[in-house]
Amino acid sequence: MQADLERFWARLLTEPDFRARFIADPAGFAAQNGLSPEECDAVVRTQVQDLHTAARSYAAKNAGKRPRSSDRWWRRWLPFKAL
Amino acid sequence: MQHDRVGLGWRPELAAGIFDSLDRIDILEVIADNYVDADRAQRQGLAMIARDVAIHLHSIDLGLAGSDEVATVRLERIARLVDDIKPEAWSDHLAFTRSGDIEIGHLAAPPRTPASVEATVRNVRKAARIVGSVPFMENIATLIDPPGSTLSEAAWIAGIMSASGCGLLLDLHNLYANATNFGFDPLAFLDEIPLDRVDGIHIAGGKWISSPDGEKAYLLDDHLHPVDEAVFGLLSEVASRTAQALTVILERDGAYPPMPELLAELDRAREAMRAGRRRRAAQEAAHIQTADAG
Amino acid sequence: MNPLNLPGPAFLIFYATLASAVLLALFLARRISEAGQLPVLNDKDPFLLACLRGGPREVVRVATVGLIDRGLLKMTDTAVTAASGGRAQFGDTRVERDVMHHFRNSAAFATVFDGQAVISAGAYETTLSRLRLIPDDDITRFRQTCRIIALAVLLAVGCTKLVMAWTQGRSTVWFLIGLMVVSVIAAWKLSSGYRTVTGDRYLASIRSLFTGLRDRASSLRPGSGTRELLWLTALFGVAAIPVSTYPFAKYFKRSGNSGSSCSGGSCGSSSGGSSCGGGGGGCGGCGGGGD
Repeated sequence: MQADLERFWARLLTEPDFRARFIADPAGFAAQNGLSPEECDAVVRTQVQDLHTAARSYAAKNAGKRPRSSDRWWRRWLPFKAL
Repeated sequence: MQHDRVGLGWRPELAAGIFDSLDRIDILEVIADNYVDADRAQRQGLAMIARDVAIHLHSIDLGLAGSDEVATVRLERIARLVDDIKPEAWSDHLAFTRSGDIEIGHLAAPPRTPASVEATVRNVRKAARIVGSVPFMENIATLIDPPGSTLSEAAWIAGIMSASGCGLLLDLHNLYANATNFGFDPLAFLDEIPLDRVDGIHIAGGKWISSPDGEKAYLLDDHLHPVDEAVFGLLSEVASRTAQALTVILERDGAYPPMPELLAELDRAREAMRAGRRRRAAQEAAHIQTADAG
Repeated sequence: MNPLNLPGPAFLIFYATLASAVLLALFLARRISEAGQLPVLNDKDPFLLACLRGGPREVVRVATVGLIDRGLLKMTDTAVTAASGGRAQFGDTRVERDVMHHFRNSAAFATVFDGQAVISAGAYETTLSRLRLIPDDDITRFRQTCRIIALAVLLAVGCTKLVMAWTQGRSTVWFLIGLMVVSVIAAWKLSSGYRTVTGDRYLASIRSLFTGLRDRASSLRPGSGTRELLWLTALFGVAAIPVSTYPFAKYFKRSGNSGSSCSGGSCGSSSGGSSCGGGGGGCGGCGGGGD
């Protein structure tokens, strides 16, 4: 399913631990995370080098982001999630 | 007929230079995400600029190409901004930025499938309904090919354009970077996308980076460097292939050079556009001559 | 019941309530009479905005800063001197030419306010007044009328009570006198102000667009040939100039003529404040950021 694949992809790009476990056993880890056999085949073909480069780029991008006002400290105390 | 326009991304750091050069800037593009939480003074400030120069609003964070339905509250915030500033048009990216509770924090290419075409079209329609106008959608750069794609990027974009009715904001540096990193011909890409749907064009600069193991080089779209000559070449090519007036925006997000350098890049873009238009006119004239001779 | 017959503490409460009502009415009267659409203004002129922020003297101060940055004037602890031998034609505007002319012979900075430059800068006030960003004759008259009515009410009620108290032999009236003084000062302030309500909004809006420039003031380069320092000073005052980069700024600050970021009335929100709402940064490149 597209949503599952996107979620898996998003985690690969942003979560170092998740990425490391995937690289250790791509097919098994993808299956473990509920991807269909076709989707497993697709993610297994991911170039690890590209994945590392892209992930590093996203990390740098996020680290360099200035906080938006909706990220202000006092908003964290709100009883609802500020978008 | 409207004329081609060339402008610049509005950045507060460049405010003085922009204010002093409004006679050489046809249009400004404002990053919507920087102003959705803005106070009244900031919105009025933008609205004031909009009275002096045409403004486009450019959103980053909506993630319209994700399979998640775009949140109504996010669109309502864009709608309020559009209402306050009254831009000529607004745009977002053909990207997803979150999936469920996972925030990627930036633009990511989704798997290019018929399902993602359908999801994007659904989100674009919802955005158009809430904001009040159809967004232009921009092609993005990616350092990694999304898994599970069954469509080429060009076919995927064409599918979305065709089904949603939205226009294309063609980022030529993104195209150039993707073509460089994945080894395809950008001109062939232009053959495949609906160029008649292109309204806006982004140009920018990037830099070469290498993979962590140092073995592979990538062209990164970072908006921190001067526009590559190849991008001006693509701009000229698009101008030669399209009939409609185009709006070109130079994106620069940091390492700001002195304003005269940015203005020189705008002039270079104008020259590239003119060259393309001249080529088109010559081709049309030749075509007419051939037809007459026939 | 006549409130003037109220006993001391009760009358103080009555008077405080009356004063609050008068001040609120003054506030609303200004809001209503001075509010309006933000006019289309020549945004490209930093001197006009300097005038809006602080009047003609501020225009002269900004012009001097600009001329120093361009190397046409030199400022020391005691005097300003024309670096080019006082060739007034270097100035782009009338005010700049007047400033250059004034300093053709070395003179203390403060003397420029006694010269032609301030008179020339008055032309900006005419424009601002026409646009009702600072009070025109109508607004000035309306403000005066409101002020007179407000002061009349506050003083008449307060003084009558004072006279009554004194004739009854009471001398514990200091609370009332204090309350009257505070109310009168507040009423005076509320019915004054260099800018109109629209002017405050206009300045706050323009300043919000330039927060990025103020944030990176320390990275400005002297004599860069751009007008960034001029804009910075025009919108945020000499106080915003980083002394580390522009040592001459300390002489402005030391002379007490620093042209603080606001003068004459409130500035509204100075910068908008929201961190990224203010506008920093752009898309930052698609598909991943800077390495």
